[in-house]
Amino acid sequence: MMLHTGFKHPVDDAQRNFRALLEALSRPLQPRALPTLPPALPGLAAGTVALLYTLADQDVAVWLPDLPADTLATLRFHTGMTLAASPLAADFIVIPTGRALPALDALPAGEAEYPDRAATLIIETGAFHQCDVEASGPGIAAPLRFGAQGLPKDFWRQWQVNHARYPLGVDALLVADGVIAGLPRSVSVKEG
Amino acid sequence: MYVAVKGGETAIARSWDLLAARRRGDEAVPELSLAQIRQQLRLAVHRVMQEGSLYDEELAALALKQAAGDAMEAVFLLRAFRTTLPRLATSLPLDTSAMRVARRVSGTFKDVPGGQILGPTADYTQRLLDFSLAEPAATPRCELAEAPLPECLPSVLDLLAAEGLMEADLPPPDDPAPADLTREPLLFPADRPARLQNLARGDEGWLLGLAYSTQRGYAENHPFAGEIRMGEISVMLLPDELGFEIDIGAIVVTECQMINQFAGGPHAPPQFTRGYGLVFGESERKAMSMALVDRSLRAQELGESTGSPAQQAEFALCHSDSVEASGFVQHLKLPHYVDFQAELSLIRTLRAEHDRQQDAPHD
Amino acid sequence: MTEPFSPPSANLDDRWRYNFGFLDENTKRMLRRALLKAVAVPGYQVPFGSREMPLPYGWGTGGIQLTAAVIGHEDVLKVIDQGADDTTNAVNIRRFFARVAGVATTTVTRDATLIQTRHRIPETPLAEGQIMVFQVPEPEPLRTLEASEVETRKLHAHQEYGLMHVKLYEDIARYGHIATSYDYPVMVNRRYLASPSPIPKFDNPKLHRSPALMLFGAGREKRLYAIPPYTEVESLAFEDHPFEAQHWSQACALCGSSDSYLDEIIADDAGVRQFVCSDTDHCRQQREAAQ
Repeated sequence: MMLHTGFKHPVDDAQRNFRALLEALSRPLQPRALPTLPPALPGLAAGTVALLYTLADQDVAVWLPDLPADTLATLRFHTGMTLAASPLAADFIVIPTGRALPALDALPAGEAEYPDRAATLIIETGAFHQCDVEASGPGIAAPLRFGAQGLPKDFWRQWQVNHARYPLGVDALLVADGVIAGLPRSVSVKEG
Repeated sequence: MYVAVKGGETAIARSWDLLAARRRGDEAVPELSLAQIRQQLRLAVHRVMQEGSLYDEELAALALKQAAGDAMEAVFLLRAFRTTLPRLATSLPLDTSAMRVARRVSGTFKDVPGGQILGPTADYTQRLLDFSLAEPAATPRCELAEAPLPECLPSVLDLLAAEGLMEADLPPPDDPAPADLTREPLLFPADRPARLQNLARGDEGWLLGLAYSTQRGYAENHPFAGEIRMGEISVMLLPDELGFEIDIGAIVVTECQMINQFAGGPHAPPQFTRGYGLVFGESERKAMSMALVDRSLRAQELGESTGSPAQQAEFALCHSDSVEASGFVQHLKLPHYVDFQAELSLIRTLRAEHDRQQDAPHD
Repeated sequence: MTEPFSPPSANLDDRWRYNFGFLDENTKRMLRRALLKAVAVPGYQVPFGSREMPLPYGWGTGGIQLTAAVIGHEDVLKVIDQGADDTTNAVNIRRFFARVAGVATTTVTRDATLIQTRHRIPETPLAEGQIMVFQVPEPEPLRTLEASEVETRKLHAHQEYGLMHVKLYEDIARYGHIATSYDYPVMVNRRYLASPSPIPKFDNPKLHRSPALMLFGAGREKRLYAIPPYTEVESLAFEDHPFEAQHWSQACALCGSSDSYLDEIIADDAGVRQFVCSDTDHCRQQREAAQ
């Protein structure tokens, strides 16, 4: 078993990454680089690892697919997070590159009186582009075009269903290596 | 030329200096030591620990000194410090039957196993001012009992429970970890552990008033003081890496178990119900008030009417915290020029229209 | 900003005793996770584990916690109360962050990356990248109409805001006007009724499609919420009684500004009134520009 190093400056690195993340969700689908990246872990992109170090601790359950033992041990060591047995019981659901995405409509979407009790997906993708959808919603000054390589074919159709049950729904963070794009449930998309 | 009536840094600095000087008072009088406060103002220290929810006599004494004896301000100081402390471990539940009691009384039976133990109580002092305390004097000698108190005193309520006349006092199914109100917001409906936690931190005056209201017809408790005990109790930890329990020290607590009437219903035979109070240090007033309010907050669960303030959890619990209440009441001291100006311009508009209508000739 | 005095020695050097920004990292993460959910559901009040702060509840503990959760070394902080940088509470909070975070502070709106405010939105238009943190005493706009939190949660869940419309309409019936002059309720993203905090309704239009991110913290009530940039924020109104902000027939006695929010000052024993800008930074800029 080998533990990998985490953030070099845990307090500052978490703060700077959080600010990028807050901006990313506040200005959806407008990609930005995470300012400080920890070493990537086997099976996970550096950006994903940075988000987990920034957000996860003993108070949250994270669902991860099968990953090398070193990766899990390192994440647990640096965050204290608990591993969720199923995506249905998770606060954060991590989908590394090439792994299957669970059906969005089956994931925790919050309750009518507490819509905040919904899962956040961290989805690794290929490069971002502007070809898939036209997006609008809070944080988007004028409708903008967005796309990401490697998303499942029906992802955006599933997203429309997710958005339709607003204010319930999951939120997603798309990670292309060290660049992220926020996709809160408030974002509405049109394909084509 | 107009000069803004706005305080600056200098004004704040001067107010700090003035406060410090007032706290110290006449320097010809010796300064209070924390040891003096801990030893001789013990009940004030206990109240600050209770409502500050931090068991540390030294820090509570410091807070009292810094607050010049203002208990609520001291509670606030202790809370603001407490919130910065790391959480190292969670203790095992206290076993109050293993309390090394200094006092234990029951209002329901003339005698109970282990006996009634009066202990250090002001209950039967005649409340005459003791002028001999005005000057330093030798401490009266305290004679010790011939036989030591028993190590373990069973709860009086357990004796009734054995007869089936007392409701069972069992953890809820699956024994979930209780909410931690120092880390999570109070949400409604609040379960009993969350309610008890709120009450244990609650302001003694608030709880006393609510408890009193239940005795005057605003709720139906029919309480009897089944047992009140006060004494020292060990705090135990079970560290994962050791695998066995360790004693990390002792604290003084006061526990009150109220026995309340309950007529029974289709699903339960007639049996007494419980109200529970447990507080840091010595404070029967607080523990008893807590037990009465705990019982009245169970009204809904027990199928009783819920019309009285002490039966309404949102009302009773949202207003119990002296730090919250004191802050919000006193925030009215802060400038509200902007909002007041908004109201002023609105009322002038309304007033002008009103006057115009009054002056208009009537048909 | 100069330091005219040093803190009493009993405080030692706080940086050695408290974490950066005062809060511990666990608390910051809890707040940060809650903030992300708040941004995802604009106007919805997220419950959070509010901590006791070294400032009384009701004096900005919610705002301070949010600021502590987002602030970093690169930030430039501005703190205002009633629009002014030099009111005692603003001074106190700015000093707190200068002390526990060592960040740069400013009074100039456009130089700030982070602005904590009580009761005002600056007159200088906000820009992309800026974050406003509002101190909120009562986050629930329906609270005075429905005391129970259980009930108001249900009303929000069903988007059932008839109570508020009835209240405003009763105002009109009684006074001929909507009798709410500050903390004037808004619909955020056409879904949640929200309190804009006790800003005068004069400031409400500044919330609509602002380029800045707006965060709202209620420490005592343990709720936070957000309005992301470019979000629709509509002040409640009726077709025959459209929303109207305050306006003055006077101009600022100091800078001559005729489009800013004015404080009324009683200037002498005869009760002579003067009107001056509530936003001290704006007033200073206007005077400097005139010279």
